[in-house]
Amino acid sequence: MVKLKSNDDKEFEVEEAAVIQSEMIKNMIEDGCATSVIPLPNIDSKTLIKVIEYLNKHINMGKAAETGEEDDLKEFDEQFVNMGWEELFDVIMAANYLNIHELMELCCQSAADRLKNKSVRAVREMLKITNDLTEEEEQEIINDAPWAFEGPEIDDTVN
Amino acid sequence: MVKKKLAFDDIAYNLPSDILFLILARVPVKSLLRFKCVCKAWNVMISDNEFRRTHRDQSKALAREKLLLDKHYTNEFEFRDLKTSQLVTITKGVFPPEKFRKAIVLCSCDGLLLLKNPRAYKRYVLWNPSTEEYQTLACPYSKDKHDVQMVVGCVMILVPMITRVPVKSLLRFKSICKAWNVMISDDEFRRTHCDQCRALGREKLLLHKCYSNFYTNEFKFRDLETSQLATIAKQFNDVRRENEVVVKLEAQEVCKRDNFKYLGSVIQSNGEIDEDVSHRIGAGWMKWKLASGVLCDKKVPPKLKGKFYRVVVRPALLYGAECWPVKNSHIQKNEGGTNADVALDVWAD
Repeated sequence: MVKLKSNDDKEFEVEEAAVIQSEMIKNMIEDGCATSVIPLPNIDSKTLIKVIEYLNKHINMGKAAETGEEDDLKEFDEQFVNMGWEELFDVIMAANYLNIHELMELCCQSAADRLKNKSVRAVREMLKITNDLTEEEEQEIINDAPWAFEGPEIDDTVN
Repeated sequence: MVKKKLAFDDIAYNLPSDILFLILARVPVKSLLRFKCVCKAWNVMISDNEFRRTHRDQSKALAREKLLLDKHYTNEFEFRDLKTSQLVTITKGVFPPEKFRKAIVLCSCDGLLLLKNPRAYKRYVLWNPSTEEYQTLACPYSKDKHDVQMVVGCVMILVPMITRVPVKSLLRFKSICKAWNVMISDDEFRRTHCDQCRALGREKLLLHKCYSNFYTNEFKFRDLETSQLATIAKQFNDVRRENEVVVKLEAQEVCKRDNFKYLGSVIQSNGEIDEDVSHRIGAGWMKWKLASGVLCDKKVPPKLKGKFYRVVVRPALLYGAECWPVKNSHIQKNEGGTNADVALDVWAD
């Protein structure tokens, strides 16, 4: 078992088999620096719970392919990424910090799927981005590729 | 609407650009082009070449490639998604410039098409169907239309294909046609090929056997993948004669020499040491002459002459001779040298 400590001083115990999916912690264990509690100053407990949930589910990734539990895992992944933007970004940051490649892929793909086909206005609202382009600059970009701004699939809703 | 947009200004997610980069690399092209309008930072990132490359590789990895169908007679194109097996038309388009209507598709690479009008063989057009941008190309050299077709074709699809071919086959392929020879001899191609080989783990271990090299001119390679031993017999001299290289110093051709002096010994182009042997004998003679005042003086006792000979003449005579692969003829020559010494010795006495 490996003990992880979030930035709000809560400790979590995780099986070693699960936690070594994180490249960073794997290296720490190999170097023998993981004897006591591993502090994770960039991750709060809410995000860490999410990450540990993912790690525990994916502990038997290799076996799942043989036993036909792939669909189950897929369903879990779909459920897992069903969270708000803020939460999703927190998980991505944590995955980036802990260097968990699979989780990074999953979350980035999910974020990309949410963004695609959205209108410019919707993206700005979803990610709370301030428009700092002048009207002329915006028009120039639109003139560059007008076909990108028209089409039935463009979605103006924010979710 | 504008007011509502401003309401979101106050809090923005603190997202590092490298993570945004990873997310945007997975967004389809059309959406990306629209997202350039989101804000300045996004516009800069999406317009960046590095981002474009990553995005292209990502699209390939996600198998987001589309099939382009060409209706030959009407010259209409339509796209179909390969992922959803049901053939759904995504867009229908007609190729814009009149001149290239009824053109044939020569090849494609990374979503670009190379078109050619059969009636105007010197003109080609590079077309990106998804952005509907195109660029016409004039033939670089138009003497032989087959040649050109090959060259242009090579750049587009052959490079990714034949960079995966092993070196030995490549060298053979050079003789296929001019265009292949040009491409395979290209430095850029070599670099790509080298990287590709490394990626495929096709490196070989060179077993450097000094002695067997010296006598048999043979190199041994061990394939790291199959761990088979492959011997490549290479005659140094033959190799050199095959690719006679002209060395130039500021446009002045440098003559090839058969031997040169390096660190006190003479190195010959054919690997022999004849020059070295005669040079050493000559050096021995020089020292002998310098010391002749003592060596030829009758008043000096023979024992002292012997000491003089050992200290002055012999080191010069044998300098660098510790590792000569000596032949009989050399021994004879050298004996001639020492016999002369002995003769002189006798005469001096």
